[in-house]
Amino acid sequence: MLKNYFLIACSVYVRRKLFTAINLMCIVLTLTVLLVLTAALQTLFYPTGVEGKSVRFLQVERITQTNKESSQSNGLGYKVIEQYLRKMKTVEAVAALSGINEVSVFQEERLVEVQMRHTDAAYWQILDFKVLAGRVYNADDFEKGRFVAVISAATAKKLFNVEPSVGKKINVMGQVFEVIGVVADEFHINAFGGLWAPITTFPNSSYRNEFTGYFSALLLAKNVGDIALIKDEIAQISKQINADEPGQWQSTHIWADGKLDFVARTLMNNQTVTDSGAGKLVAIIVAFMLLFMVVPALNLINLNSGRIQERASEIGVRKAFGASNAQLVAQFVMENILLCLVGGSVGLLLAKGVLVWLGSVGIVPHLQEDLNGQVLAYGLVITVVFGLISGVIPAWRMAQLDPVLALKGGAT
Amino acid sequence: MIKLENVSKTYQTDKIETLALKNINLNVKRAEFVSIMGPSGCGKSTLLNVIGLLDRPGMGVIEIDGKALNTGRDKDLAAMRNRTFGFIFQSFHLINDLRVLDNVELPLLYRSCSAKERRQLAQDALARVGLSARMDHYPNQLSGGQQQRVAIARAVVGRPLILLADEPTGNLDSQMGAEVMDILLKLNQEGTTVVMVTHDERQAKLGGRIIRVFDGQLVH
Amino acid sequence: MINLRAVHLLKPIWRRKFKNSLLSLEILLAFFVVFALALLAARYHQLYYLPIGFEYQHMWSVELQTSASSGSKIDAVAYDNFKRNVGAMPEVEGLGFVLYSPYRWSTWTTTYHLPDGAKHFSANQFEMDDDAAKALNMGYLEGRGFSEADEGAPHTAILVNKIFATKMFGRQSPIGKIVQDNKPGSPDARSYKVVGLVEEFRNRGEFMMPVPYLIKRFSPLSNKHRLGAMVVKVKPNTSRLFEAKLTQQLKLIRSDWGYRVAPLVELRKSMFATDTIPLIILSVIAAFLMVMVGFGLFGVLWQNTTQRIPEIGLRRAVGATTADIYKQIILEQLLLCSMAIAVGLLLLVQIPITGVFGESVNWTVFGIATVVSIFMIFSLSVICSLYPAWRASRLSPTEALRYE
Repeated sequence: MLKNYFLIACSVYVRRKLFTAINLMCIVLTLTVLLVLTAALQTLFYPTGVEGKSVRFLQVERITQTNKESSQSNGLGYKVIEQYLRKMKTVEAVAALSGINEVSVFQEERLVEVQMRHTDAAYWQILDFKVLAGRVYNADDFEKGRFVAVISAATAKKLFNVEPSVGKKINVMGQVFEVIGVVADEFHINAFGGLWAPITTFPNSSYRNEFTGYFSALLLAKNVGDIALIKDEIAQISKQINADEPGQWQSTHIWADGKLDFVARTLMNNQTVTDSGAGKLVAIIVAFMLLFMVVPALNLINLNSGRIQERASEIGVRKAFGASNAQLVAQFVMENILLCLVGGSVGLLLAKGVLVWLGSVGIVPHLQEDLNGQVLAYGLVITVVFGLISGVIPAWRMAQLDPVLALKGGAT
Repeated sequence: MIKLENVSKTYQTDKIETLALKNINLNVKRAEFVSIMGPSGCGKSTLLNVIGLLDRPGMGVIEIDGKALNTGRDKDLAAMRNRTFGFIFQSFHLINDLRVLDNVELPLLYRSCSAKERRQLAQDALARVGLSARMDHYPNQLSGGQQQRVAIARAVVGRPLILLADEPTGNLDSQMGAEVMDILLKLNQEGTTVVMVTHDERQAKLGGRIIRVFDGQLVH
Repeated sequence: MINLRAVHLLKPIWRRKFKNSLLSLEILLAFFVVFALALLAARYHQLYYLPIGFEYQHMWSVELQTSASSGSKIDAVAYDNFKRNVGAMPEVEGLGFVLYSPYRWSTWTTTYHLPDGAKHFSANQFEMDDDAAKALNMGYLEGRGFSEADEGAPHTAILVNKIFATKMFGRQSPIGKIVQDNKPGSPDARSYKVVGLVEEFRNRGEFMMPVPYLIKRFSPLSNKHRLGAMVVKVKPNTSRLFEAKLTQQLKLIRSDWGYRVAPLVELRKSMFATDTIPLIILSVIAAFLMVMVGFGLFGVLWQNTTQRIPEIGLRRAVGATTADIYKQIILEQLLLCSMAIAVGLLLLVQIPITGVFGESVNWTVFGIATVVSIFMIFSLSVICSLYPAWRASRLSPTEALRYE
């Protein structure tokens, strides 16, 4: 049965070359775009490499305080991390990191713009950076507030061109740091940057007294199962902070989120409710993808419907020999899915090419996403869904054809 | 075997209603060879389609193999067509994209039948029409007569009770037509009921019983 | 004759209504996206040429990164220190303090009321000291900028833009008028007096929507909060290396603060990059859709002409010329597009009529977008129908009639 369908499908597609070409181009283009999008989302939600531990860590980024009439939402102050998060019982490690700061580095009469982060030593432990030269700073450097810096490969190239960078001094907005290590360029939310220095090198220590500021924290769980416990403890800490903080706020919310929840909460701005909006975000992504398929699907529906007359004889014969409408629908849908799978495979190759290209031209710096097994699985689902959307209507119309009309006359 | 009682059928085309069949009463016995004759447009083909359950009658009762058909469900009708009938058309209606063997296998696709079994049955059917050598060819590589013999093989492969042939020799020259008729007669002798629409008086006589249709009615 | 032509044109379209309705739907969707793109582009173009109300050439911004929380005050002496020391640098022509740097994604809005409560609306607001307006080279349509004379006045001095003035005071001159930032009678309402009218002030730059805008005078002496940035006007031809020198100088004044120093030209550039992201995304989607619709039109036309070869042969046999066939196929196509576009426009015209997007979709922008998107869709469909039409018209009548 399947073989028969397969043969028919192949020979129909080979015989109608232009038709197949147009169909394939629609499919390939659509699936390429969707696959690239899927790969990007996959990297965002389930990163590998530097943020590969992301299934095990949660991110705390904002502290939101509300009153009846007003509310404010800020980055974490260092005090929250030092006084509360570091004392958590359910976590293995806590890292503190600042947001990205655009700074100028003066280097031999030249001025270089660099993206700088201030972090603690645990940051290097939770994120798996590839150290290319030297070392990253450790707890001792951090405690003592040593003026040491880690730079990225791109920064090293910008500042020193090809010379080895470790041991060099750099002047960052008036502070002089010694470069102790070079790490590979990374693109992920918490990892991207060009220059890292210990938080303790801030000009003064008033940041330690602030509840709100520009830090975020990564909480590493001992194992995946502990994540729920961490979230519970964070809820307790929110209440505690609300009681301790001098401002007269009715409630304080901080959330520890996994990747998907984190992105959803940021986009949906769900800062005061437990639900991060991840469900909604996924629904929106799926809806967008479906919407994106509409026009190419319309194309396929149109072209396939145009072939009813061409295949009238075949349909009539099949009906006469006992094919039910449902069986015919199944046949034509499968034909379409088959073509979509071919298109999907080509799309996969193209998507790979697009990703390599995107990474190389540097539109998105240090992009290293790739097509892994999960992306392939999603790709397959997307392809089949697309095949169904674009195949069912013409298949149904074909199956409805009156066999008497189809078999009339002398034309073969 | 086939019993039609008061079967009428109308066609609705645009604004005109045409009566295609009027109060047809017909009884075909097992292993009979019935030829339906009549001028163009008299309703012969419609009658054949109604018998073959391709077309629904407007009124009346159809009984096939002792079972009255009162269901209108597509699935049941399809199963009935598959089991009971074998169709042969004037213009063959072979699927050009499939090999001869795959064409013959087609009716078996719609019943539970293993690939091996299907292949065996199709080869047997082709042997019966004398085309074993051509089973890997494509229909358009064959002559008209050969194509119609493939079509007959396809019609008989599922061992149907009834063969319905709509002018099976209409597109063939006389020699090829004779070959096709021989096969049909042989099948009839083996016990298959045959209902054939034809223009050819001589061929009709070969079969035995002749039914004449005029203006949608049987003429006795 | 004309009627007959129309029948011959319309009848085949009607006969293939399923296919045509899908095709129209597709054209409609593409039209919407192209329209949105054209609309956005036209609006950006329009915004680009509107005044921003300040000068960005030879201007630098210095953002102060103090470690104290944003609510706290900076000593008046500190402001003075900065002004004297930075102002003394040979490259500097003028400087002033502002709430935040221009060309940054910051906005601050508050609702302003007339003292009699007759009118109130939400306006963007900004704060600057007496020298900033001068450094930014803001011009006044009426009235004057802030000065020492405003210090200690019962109402804080403000500048308003034209939109604010027209909306709040109608045709009357805004100078000397009073507004307040809370409902009349409420205890914490503060009142402000308009001293000057500016053409415009769009702190986020060229692509910011013109909105009612109000600029408050900041007094280092009496205000209890602080300003976050400095604008420094430098002499033309000041090199980029001035940044190092300026940072050094700033560090000498307050070594425990951080400073983000950047020429406004640079901030403007990165702001442009951010602002044009929606335009780029929409362009990519529109391009994708146009290609898709192109494929669809081409494929369907190809199929149609193939299936209609006997019809075309007949037309040729009864005397239709090659040009007639061409015309028929392309006209059919255009007619189909016109229908889709007509439906689309009928829906889209509701935007400026109802004004749901306010001033951002005004009639000029709408007109431009309409013309551009119609042109795009028509060109696409003509391009896609050229080859099938050419192929159909080339068939000889006998060939066409024999074709099955």
